[in-house]
Amino acid sequence: MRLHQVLSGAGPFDAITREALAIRELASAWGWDGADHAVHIDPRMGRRMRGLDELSSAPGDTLLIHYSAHAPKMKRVLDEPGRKILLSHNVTPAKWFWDHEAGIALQCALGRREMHEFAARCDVVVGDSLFNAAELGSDRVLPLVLPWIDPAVALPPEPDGPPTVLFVGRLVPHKRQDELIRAIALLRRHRRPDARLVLVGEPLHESYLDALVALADELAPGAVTFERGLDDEALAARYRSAHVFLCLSEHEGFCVPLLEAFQHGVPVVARPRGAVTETVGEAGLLLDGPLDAMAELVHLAIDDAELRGILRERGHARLDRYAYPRTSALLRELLDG
Amino acid sequence: MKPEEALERARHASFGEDLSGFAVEATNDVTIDKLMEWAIIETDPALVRSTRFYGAPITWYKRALRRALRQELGQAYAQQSRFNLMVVRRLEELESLREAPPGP
Repeated sequence: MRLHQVLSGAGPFDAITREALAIRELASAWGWDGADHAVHIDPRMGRRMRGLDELSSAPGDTLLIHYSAHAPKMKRVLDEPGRKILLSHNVTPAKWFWDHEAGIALQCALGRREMHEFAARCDVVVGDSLFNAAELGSDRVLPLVLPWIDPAVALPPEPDGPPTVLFVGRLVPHKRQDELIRAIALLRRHRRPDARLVLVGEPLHESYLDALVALADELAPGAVTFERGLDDEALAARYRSAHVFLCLSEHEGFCVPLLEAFQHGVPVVARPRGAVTETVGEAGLLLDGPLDAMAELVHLAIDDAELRGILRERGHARLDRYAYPRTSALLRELLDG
Repeated sequence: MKPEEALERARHASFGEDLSGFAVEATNDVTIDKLMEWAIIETDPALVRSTRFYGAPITWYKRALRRALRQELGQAYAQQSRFNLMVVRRLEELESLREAPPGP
């Protein structure tokens, strides 16, 4: 069998790319042929990802289209022979980008319009969350296939050091790092003067990063750390030293870092937006409240040992749903048709 | 403390502070003023970069090239901005006609 994967963009720290590479490893282990293709390819990907112009499928092949944004000429994939599976990772609403990055806003606006055409012309439509699938009229879910999700790994010990709040995700408008900085400022002024915030992620662009750094310097000088380009080991270390994972995103199609937090025993506090509600389930503190309330929740999750214990246990149990043996079996079932 | 108790307690938290500074806002309805702002083509030199492994010299080269071509690029930006602005002005006129009360 031949499996081709198609992505709109591929980069070394992108969750969709990492899933595509994990699927490729699985396919190779099953003895399947094929290659992975993307329209926009970060030079750091090397030959792990090929250009879309190199894609050539035959009847009987399977094309797994990871859809997350519009990309020029991606529609031609729909004319390729073979069985087509659309895997929706969701497209961020353009309203978050118009003011900050016109090119991405255009990709999102076009992507949200044409994803319905992709859905209509594919043989199977799935989402990596029900939130994503439902947008396209489907109820079929294939959670992200992530080899490192392992509920059998014991919870790590509680971290030492000052109260540390962590968020991992690209520095982009809808992930609301500006709100995270405000929340940490409130936490320091009213509850925990020694609290610090660690933001890990690639910025939208340097000007956006500069704006966030300036805000952090103004509201919580010396308390916010920005990091990017971390390898797996360094990222794991950030999780192990965090007391709370705080997510104030306004839109998420899945949010892999929530699972990473569960894996590392970090209590999760979040706003219930997009697929966050579904990914977290009962395992975290979900509250659609103002920043004061979110800062208070973070304080309680740091301070209250019983609460921390419950959240750590629930998070760990939540991983069963996303465990690699389960997701890889679901993938195989999907590909076998 | 149980999670439900924590949520209840947090709902009543109020610190009475309004923190100013950079804040993201979703742009739902694009106003004429915003269109005017966007009509002017103005690129940020800080965004000229290379993500390649030894990208620093490539970034330097791109920025040098940008400087060298600024007169030519400036003309293109100016012509495109002129067109954009005129279109927005026409749009503004049409909107004011639509909003104006019907004549006698």
